[in-house]
Formats: sequence, structure tokens, C-alpha cells
Amino acid sequence: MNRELPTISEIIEMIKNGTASPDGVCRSFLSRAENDALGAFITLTADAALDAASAVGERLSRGENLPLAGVPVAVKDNICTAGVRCTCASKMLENFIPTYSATAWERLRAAGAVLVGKTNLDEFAMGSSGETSFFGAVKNPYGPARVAGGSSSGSAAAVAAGYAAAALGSDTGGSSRLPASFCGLVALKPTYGTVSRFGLVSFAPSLEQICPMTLTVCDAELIYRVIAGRDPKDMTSTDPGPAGGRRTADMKIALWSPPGVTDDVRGALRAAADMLASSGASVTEIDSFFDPAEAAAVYMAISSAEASSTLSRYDGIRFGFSAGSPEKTRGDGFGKGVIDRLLTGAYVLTEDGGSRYRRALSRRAALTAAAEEMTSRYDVILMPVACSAAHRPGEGMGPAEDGYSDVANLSGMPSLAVPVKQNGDGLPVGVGLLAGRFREADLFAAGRAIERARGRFPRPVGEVV
Amino acid sequence: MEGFIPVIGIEIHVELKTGSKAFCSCSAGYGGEPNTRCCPVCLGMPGALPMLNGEAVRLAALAAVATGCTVEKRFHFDRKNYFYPDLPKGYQISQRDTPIGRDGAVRITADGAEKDIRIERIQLEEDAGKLIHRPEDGLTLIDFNRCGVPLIEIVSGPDMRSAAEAVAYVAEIRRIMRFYGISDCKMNEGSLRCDVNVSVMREGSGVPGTRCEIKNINSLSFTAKAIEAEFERQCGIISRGGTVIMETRRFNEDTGKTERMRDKETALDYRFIREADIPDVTLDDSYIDELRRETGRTPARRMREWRDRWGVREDDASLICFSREMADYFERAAGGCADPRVLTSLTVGTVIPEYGDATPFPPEYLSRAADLFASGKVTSTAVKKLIKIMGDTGLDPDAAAEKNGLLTLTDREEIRALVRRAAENDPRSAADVRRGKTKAKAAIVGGVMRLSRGAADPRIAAEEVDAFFAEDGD
Repeated sequence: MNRELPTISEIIEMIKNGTASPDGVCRSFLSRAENDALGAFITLTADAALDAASAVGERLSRGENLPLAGVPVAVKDNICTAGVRCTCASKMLENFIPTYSATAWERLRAAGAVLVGKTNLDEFAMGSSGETSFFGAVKNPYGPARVAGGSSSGSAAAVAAGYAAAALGSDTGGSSRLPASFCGLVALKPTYGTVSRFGLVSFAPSLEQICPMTLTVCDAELIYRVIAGRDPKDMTSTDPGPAGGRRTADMKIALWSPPGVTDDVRGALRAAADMLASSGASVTEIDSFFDPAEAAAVYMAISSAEASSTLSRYDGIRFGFSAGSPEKTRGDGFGKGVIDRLLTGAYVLTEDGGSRYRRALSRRAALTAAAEEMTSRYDVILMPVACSAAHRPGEGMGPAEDGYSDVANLSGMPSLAVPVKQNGDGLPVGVGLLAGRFREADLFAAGRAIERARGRFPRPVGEVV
Repeated sequence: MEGFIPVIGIEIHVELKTGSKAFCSCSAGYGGEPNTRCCPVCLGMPGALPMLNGEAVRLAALAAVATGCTVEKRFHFDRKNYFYPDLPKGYQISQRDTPIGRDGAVRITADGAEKDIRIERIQLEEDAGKLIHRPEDGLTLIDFNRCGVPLIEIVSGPDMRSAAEAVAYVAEIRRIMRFYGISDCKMNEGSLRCDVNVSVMREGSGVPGTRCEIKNINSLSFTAKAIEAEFERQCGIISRGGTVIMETRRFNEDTGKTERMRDKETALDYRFIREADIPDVTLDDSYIDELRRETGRTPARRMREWRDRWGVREDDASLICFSREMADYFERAAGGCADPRVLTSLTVGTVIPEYGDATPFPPEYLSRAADLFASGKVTSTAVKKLIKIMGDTGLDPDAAAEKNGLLTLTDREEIRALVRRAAENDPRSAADVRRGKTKAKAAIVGGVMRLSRGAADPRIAAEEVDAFFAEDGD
């Protein structure tokens, strides 16, 4: 089976010109989602989705202007949607039902989007392969013997497999861009603060952002423009940068193709560079501007330290799983990956009076300065998201290989993952684009240039879809 | 304890008088049905984020200015991580690296001497909930109403050398906080709580020994008692050749002694980390200048000025300084008054008990009323009535005294007539006086005062009573 999935822009157009109804679009996506063979969903909200789609239809008939009318969206299960359980893929929150919605989801809902369900993830968004969920691993739509990438594994699988037209993921150190890259999707990790984190179950507050995950760059921008903007419920939130960017023809683009990546990735970077050059951009190859192994180490120290504090609230007293004592609750309620992070974080904060944590903060500042220097010289930096295409379950990736995406989180800069090609096994290979803070418009422009030159990205082939 | 001196430093926690909590819009008021003043933010629910209350920042900065601290112009918050069932997030949002105030001092008077006590830091943080132990079923319940109420922690230098100094310091901090409306400072409601660090020093050595912290003392008298008990305990250990162990203790109000809570081995490692959910706060110079203008003269300075200018005693001044409104009112009244001592006693004895600091008539009225009394135009009883009438009617003191017949009756003819009537009304006392019981004259004077509705000059009334019975006897 190989078929085209409609993009958000196409859905909006079809509903606008009457060739499709919100209800019909919803049923079509649900028919696939209800046969989820990938483990993409933790909670499918099919009935509520149909009700919501009908309600959107009524709002449209009353003449309301809904920018995302009838767009079926999947939401990562660490983002609260009122009245639907939000598990974070953890036994700890298996039955936790929030009474409030994340601002990002609330804005999508107000714009006419329809919630299809809550997607699987690495437990508490800690992981890069989608294998550590209490509810089981997520499979890659492009090959069931491969991981979907994490931690937004279910969101990536759901969009790639046509269970939803778009998804919200979250990204603390590549968690939306990596699975997007593995599953042939676009993901934007926005400038820190431009999307409210209210309702995102936090793990490392200084790093994480909610992210659009979509089939196309245009779709990612549509979602981003709806969810971005200051929110009175999040002090770290701020308004996004301007929508209109440079033309690609006026852009200076740096290509960083480090030696540590596979031929697949090197090939994708070269292809993307050629596509950008063909649209008139000036592309210059640069040497490394940071050490990915160092970025990964700094990321691990800071994210673990923040996690060890942020996850202290799971003590079984007020909500969630309880095994009696807080110690036993935490021991039984968290999976091994989470416990490892919490121990790492406690160590980082405790050892030698926290000197390890302070050192990580100063190295973070140095990495940020290096990235700022590079983004002041170039409009966009073309670089790897991951060192390879999707790997097999259990293989994992070394910390050095996982370090490319971390710099955007450490520096607060926006980064866009764009699929470029498929490798010999039919697995998607994506590239990363990095720009200065609030320069999403440049990323979208460069991403669209790649898409134009590339053509429609092939959808997965095979029985799982 | 011969040869030993106590070295005392105090950490005072003061709940700020804001309408809402430090990081959410729940009410910060005291009490309430358990768990009715909480929300996802102050309960630390997953995905909820803190929103810093600007009024809490303002009051904390005001406290810093009022205690002579340097105000930090750019500060952030830190998380202090520890587990306790009443701490829902598992950490307290506090300030370690950049306290909002630093390096201040307050002046106290104790044991007849003035002394400056240094303030090392003032940090803005949040309160925790309350555990309620229910003996009937052994359950411990949690009330989160107090959780997230804004607090400041005021850390003194180890500058106090007696329980009296410690008490004077806490009282001075309380005065300042109340004066500027920063806090209610009700120790019984926990809006002011003290942790006291005590160590002992050999006289002349200049080097304090190992200190112990006594936690959560909830009254001024217990502060003094706890310090004395702890000083005695440590002196005892040292005199017996032992060593004081650094530990956290509590004061047992029943035994009057301090007892161990936890020792250094089990001391908590708070794993401090930057609070990334709250961006850095910047206070610009104009904000701080405005606070400085608002602060004006501190209560301690005003009290000294009143003593020098008007002879106001410290205890009276201290009462008047319970609020800034009262102090301002008093100063305006005293400035226009012939005898500020009379004004002081009227303020302390009548105005404050009657109206608190919400006096319903202008200070000029009070000055005039004091002058009427000082010049003998109204009696002490009448002036009290006069104040109430001014409060009730809004009439100025002269009109109020006139209309209500409060002006002192000094006309001897009239008073003589009243004496005659009083003697007729009370034949028994009159008979007693005539039989030589001079003490019974007082009853007749009382009768005169009653008949004149308090307006008769009591001295003249007494003279006329004497005269009446002297004539009578002839």
C-alpha cells in the first residue's frame, strides 16, 4: 500500500471548498488510527474526536473563521488535554487525568483542530528511541524492525502512518527532530519560550519546548503560528519572531557535515546543500563549531539535574501511582531509564557541592556563544539531526552521536528537521537546520526550498500502515 | 554562666501580606476550610507552572529597603529540593544565589543600650502546607492552603549577646514589617516564625563555639526561654569538658528545655538548582528609588525623634508605631499641639484602643481636644467622651464639647447649687458627713459629677462640698 496522505493545507482547502467535511476527514484518519499496529497511541480518543469534528462543522456553518478547521491532531502524552489521561508513558501517571489543558493544545483546539489521541513516548520524554515506554515500544512506519526514534516516537509514527494530520511533540534534546528524521517528517523545535510550556509535563524546564510534527514545512509553520505567543500561564513564554523571512536566494548557508555520521546522513546533507544552492542560496562548508560529544555531556548533566528536581513531585501522595511510601512509589512507579536519570541528576547536583552542575552551566554558556557566533555569520546552518537513519531496537545510539540536536536546546535556538531522502533500506534520512533565536522564518524558507527541490516525500510502504 | 557569653543569630520567616500566593492566584489569607485555597500550580500538579506575584516582589524589596539592605537589581530563584509531605513539588522555590536584599542592619535597644544588628540577607520564597495529625485514628492529613504563600527569610548576623537582645531584635523586625504593611507578623498564626542559632563563647576569646539551631519558635517569650535554656545546656556541656555537637533542636514548651530534632549526620543536602520556570527579575533604579521614597523615616528613627522633640516615652512610641498610618497621624497631631505628653496619653489610652489606626477625624481635632484638656477646659472623663463624639458625629472638638455640655463647669455658684442637690439626693451620705465621717464627702462629690454629667471641675466641686458642710455645721 502506497498512498498519499493529505497535508494540513490540503485538508483545510478541501473543507473550505466543501469536498470534505470535518467529520469525514476525522473518520478517514480514525479508520487508520483504530488499527494502530505501531504502538503509536497510548489513548485513542475516537468518540471525542468525532464529537469534536461535528462541533467544528457546526462552528463553520455558523460562519466562524477557524484556521485549522477539522485538522486531526495527535498529542504527545506528556502534554495535558483536560479530561483525558496523561500518562507520560509511565506507570507513575497511568491513571492521571488532568483538569487543565496545555496552552499549545488549547490554541489548536480553539483554531478548530480535533484531538485524535495521546501518543506514546519514551517514559517522561527521556530517551531517543521510543523503547522505554511503560506501554511498549513504538515501531517505525518505514520498517517495523526499526525504532521510530524518541522521545516523541508515537507522534512521529502517528503522522507518518496517517493516524493524524499533525502532531504535537516535545523536544528537550532532539526529542521531536530525531523521530521526525527517522519517520520522514518535519519537526520544528521552536525558539525557547515562543511556545508556552504550560501543560507540558516538565522534565527539564530550561531546555524543553512543545513542537509541531508534520508532513511538510508549510504545515509545521501553520501549526507554529497558532501555538506560538506569550501565555500568561508561562513566565518563560514570549512572542515569536516575524513571519516574513529572507528569500533563500539571499541566504548565506553553512554546511556542517561532520566525520562522525553515516554515509546516509552525509549524502542527505550534500543533497540538501545542493537543493538549497539550486534555489540561489550561497552555501559554504564549515568545520565543526562545537563538539557533539561535549554537547551531549552538558545536555545529560543539565537535563538530569533538572529532572531530579522536577520529578520530585511524584511521591504518590496527591495523585498518580502509590505503593505506600514515597520511596517505594518512586522505585516501583518509574522505569529504569528514568531512575538512571534521576540518580545522575542527584549526583550532578550533589557531588563536590554541585561543582559538576556549575561546570555544565558554564560549558552551556560557551556552547551557546559558539552557536550564536556561527548563526551571526550564517543565516542557516545545515547539519545532522542524528548520525544515522533509524536503528534497530536495542541498538541505541552513543552519547556522541546524539549530540547534534542538543545545541538548539542548550542555546534556545530554533531548529527544523526536514526529510531529504530514503536510504537503501527505504528508511528516511533527514537533516537539521539551525538559525538564531526568533529566526523561524528563515528555517521555514530554507526548509521549503529543500522540499521544492525534493518533491513530495514518499509515504511508507508495507502492511503496518 | 560565669565566663561564658551566648552568641545568637536569628532567621526570621515572615509571611508577606499579599492578596494572592507567591506563584498563583489563590488567596494567601490565613485559615480557610482545608484545601479550598489551592490550584494545580500550588499543588505542584504535572504541567503547571509558577507565575511570580509582583506584589510579593514589591513587599520583599520594601522589607530590604526598610532594613537598610542593598536591593539586588537582578535576581533569580533557586529550587531547594527536599522531601516532606507538605511540600507538593518536592522543592521550595527560594533564593540562594541572589537574595533580594543583602547587608542591612537594624538598631535595637536592649539592656539600656543601643546596638546595631546586621542583616546578612533577605530572600523571597514560598511557604509549605501544614500537616494535621489526628490522634483519634492516627492519620496525618495535609492542608495545602498555606502552600505557596509568599515568605521572606531575614537572616541576621551572629550579633546578639543576650536573650533580651534577641527579643528586642525580633520585636524590631516585627515592628518594621507591620509598620510598612509588609506582614501581619502574627506569631500565633505563624506569619512570623523564628529559627534561633545559639553558640557560646568564652569571655574575651572572640571565637564562638559550635552552634545549634532551634527551629520554629512561635512566641517572643519562648524565644527568650529557648535561648536561655540552650545557653545553659551548652555551658553545662563545656564546663563538664564535653563538646557541643552541631545539630537542629526544638524548644519543648512544657519542659522549658531544648531537645534534638536531627544531627549533622542526617543534615539535608538540598541539591540547589536554578528555577528555570521563572526568568531573571530585573528591578530598575526608579523602582528602588520609589521604594526608598515610600519607606521614608523608619519607625526606630521616628521614635528617637519623638523622644527628643516631644518627650514621648519608648513604650508609648512603640505602641503608636504599630502602623505607619498611626505614626503619621500622631506626628501631625503632635506638631499642632501645646502639650504633646497629653496628646501621647490620649493617643495611646483612647484613640488607638477605640479606632486602631483608622481614626475618623483629622489630627487637628485630636490636637485641639488635647489642648482643651491640658488647659482644664474639659475634664479627663469629658475628653474621652469628646473623642468618641467627634468620631461619631464628625463635629470639631469645640462644637462637640459645647453641644454636649462637656466644657468644664467652673462657675462656683452653679457648682454650689449642684452640691446642695447632691446632698438632698443622698441624705444618708450627707448625714454621715455631718456625723464626722469625712470620707463620705467623696460620695457627695461623685453626686455633683453625676449631676453635671462629668462637666464639673472636680477640684472646685470638692472645695464647694467642704464649704457646704462647713456652713452647714455652723
